[in-house]
Amino acid sequence: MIKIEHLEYGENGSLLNDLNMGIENGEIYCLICKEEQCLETLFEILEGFRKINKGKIFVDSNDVTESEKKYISSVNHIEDIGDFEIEVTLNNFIDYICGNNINLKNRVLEILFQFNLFEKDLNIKIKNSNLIDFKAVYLAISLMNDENNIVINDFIRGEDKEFELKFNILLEEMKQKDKAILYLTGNIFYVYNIADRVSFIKNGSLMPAEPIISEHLKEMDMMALYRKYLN
Amino acid sequence: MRFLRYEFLRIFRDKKVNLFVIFLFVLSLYYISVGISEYMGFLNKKENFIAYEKQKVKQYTNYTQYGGYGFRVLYELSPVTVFFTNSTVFKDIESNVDTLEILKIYHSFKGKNLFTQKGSFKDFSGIVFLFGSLFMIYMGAGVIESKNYMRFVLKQMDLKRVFFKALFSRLFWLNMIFVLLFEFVYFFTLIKGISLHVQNIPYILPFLLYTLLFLNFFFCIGSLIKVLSKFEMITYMWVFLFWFVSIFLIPEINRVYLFNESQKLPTNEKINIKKLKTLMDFEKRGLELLLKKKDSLTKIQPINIKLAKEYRKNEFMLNVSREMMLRKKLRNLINYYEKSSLLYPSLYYSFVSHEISGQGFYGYLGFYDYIINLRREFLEYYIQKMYIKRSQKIEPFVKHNENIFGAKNHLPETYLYGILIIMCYCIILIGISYFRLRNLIYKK
Repeated sequence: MIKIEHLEYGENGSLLNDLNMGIENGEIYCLICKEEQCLETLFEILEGFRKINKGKIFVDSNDVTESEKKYISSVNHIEDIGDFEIEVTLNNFIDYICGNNINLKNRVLEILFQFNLFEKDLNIKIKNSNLIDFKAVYLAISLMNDENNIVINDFIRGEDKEFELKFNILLEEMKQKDKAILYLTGNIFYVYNIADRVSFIKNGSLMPAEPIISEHLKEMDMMALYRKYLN
Repeated sequence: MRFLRYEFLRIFRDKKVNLFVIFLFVLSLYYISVGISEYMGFLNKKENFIAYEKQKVKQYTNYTQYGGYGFRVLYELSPVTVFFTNSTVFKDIESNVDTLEILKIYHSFKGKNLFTQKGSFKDFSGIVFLFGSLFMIYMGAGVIESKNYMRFVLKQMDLKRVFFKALFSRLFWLNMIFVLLFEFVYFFTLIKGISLHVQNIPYILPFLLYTLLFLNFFFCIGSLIKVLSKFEMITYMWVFLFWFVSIFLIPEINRVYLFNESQKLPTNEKINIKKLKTLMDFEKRGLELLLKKKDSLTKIQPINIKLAKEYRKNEFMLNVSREMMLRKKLRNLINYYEKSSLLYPSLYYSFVSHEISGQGFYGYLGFYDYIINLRREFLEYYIQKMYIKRSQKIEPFVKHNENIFGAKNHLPETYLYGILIIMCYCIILIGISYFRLRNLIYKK
């Protein structure tokens, strides 16, 4: 469970202002915002890379506001592999991250299996691998710790439908395992498929005051929502 | 082990790195071969030199000729010079020891000597200086791939561990490349018949140590520039600029400054004219004394001996003191150069190379002292033979190898300070890189 109370970031809360929200175990909570910077900032806060001005963050009822380690698995979006243009293979990279922990490596391979990637497919240099395979490896490594709480920043950007489908299945599985999942995105149409509850961020503030439940969302006029919160 | 293995793969799976390492080995091999060939050429020259000097003495018919023409002294290169063929203060030098007033130390450009010109960086130590530093600064910039990469890796490890372990693992492998390169060229010189003696090892190893620290300094600079430029592509422009300034500009500025300072030293001409005047005054005085006694030849001989002894005691020593004064000023300037070089690794690397090669400033001063001493002994010998014993048969002054001055490899007096300073620089650079990286990763 992730709980955020009165979170403020930026000069006088210019980026995030008095954010209050809670993500329950076994649910996918989608936060939609048109301003990428807002989502990026919230994501980095939950990753532990930014310190907040005001507010509190609780993870499984523990106050992790001041802690660098937030015990939340985080998956960021990847547009290209330029940042990871290293000369090692995907396999070497997984070994490096997992160290001597066989369980972690097995967990990574388990996730990759769902994306039809096997150990033998990983003997390719990262710089020569395709983006989809790399995204799968990136996702698998990000989720290997099997934390109870997960934050995902716009990981699906609609480039490959098959990949998206497999990812959605994985999300559903994790939800079944009672994990609290916060999905940050700017794409209102994607959340339609996965969300249990939805909120919007406009001008740094959370809207509406109470999140929209997915059943209600399906009955709502998407264009009206878009105009109201994202325009 | 995890970091060592991973950094090994990162380095050696890169084709560019492998190609560069091969290039470095081939180029080093080539320049070591050039160094060996030049050294062999010098050994031939030395043999000819000794044979010629022996022949020359036989041609003299009296001691006046021997005293006037004298004999030459050769500065014998150390075998270690094969690593530093062109990174020396001077090439092979000679001096002429005679009874005249001028002290001569020179390099002959006559005949085939014309083609033994110096060229910067064209030797093993120069190649390591030029390409090694470029390679290391580039590799330093690659320790941390990007901010996103680092943040991703931090999912499993903490920043301190990742940064320091990755950095030192990478440094370990890169240093291994250069240690292997040194071993490779060292054994190559042994195979080629260059007798690097046990007494040379205490000079080669400190050179290796300073070289590694010098290269590590560039590595640390590379990683700092990458962090300071926030992992942007412009990093490589800054890296190249810093390398260029360090390798070309700063040594050049220092060289020009040293040259300007050296201009404040008294000119050789000024000293020589003073010495000549002292000699001429003495000769004039001696001639006047002899002219008074011209009627009696038996009285001239004791006067000649008296004059010669007087000359050796007074005028000659006055001229020696003038040379020693110049030497003292030269020594002060060298001290200043040495201390100022300590501040910047590329300057001190050159200084260490010069001195360890045996053809540096310390070597020059050693030769200078040796020549002054030899001139004193030769004058003594000349007075004995010419005036006291009045020998007719020419007996050579050089009985063994007095006309060969064996170059001595020197470890600069400030070497330990040099090591400490460069280590401090590296620690400071790594520290700044770490804290800057931390601020980039963890934003407030």
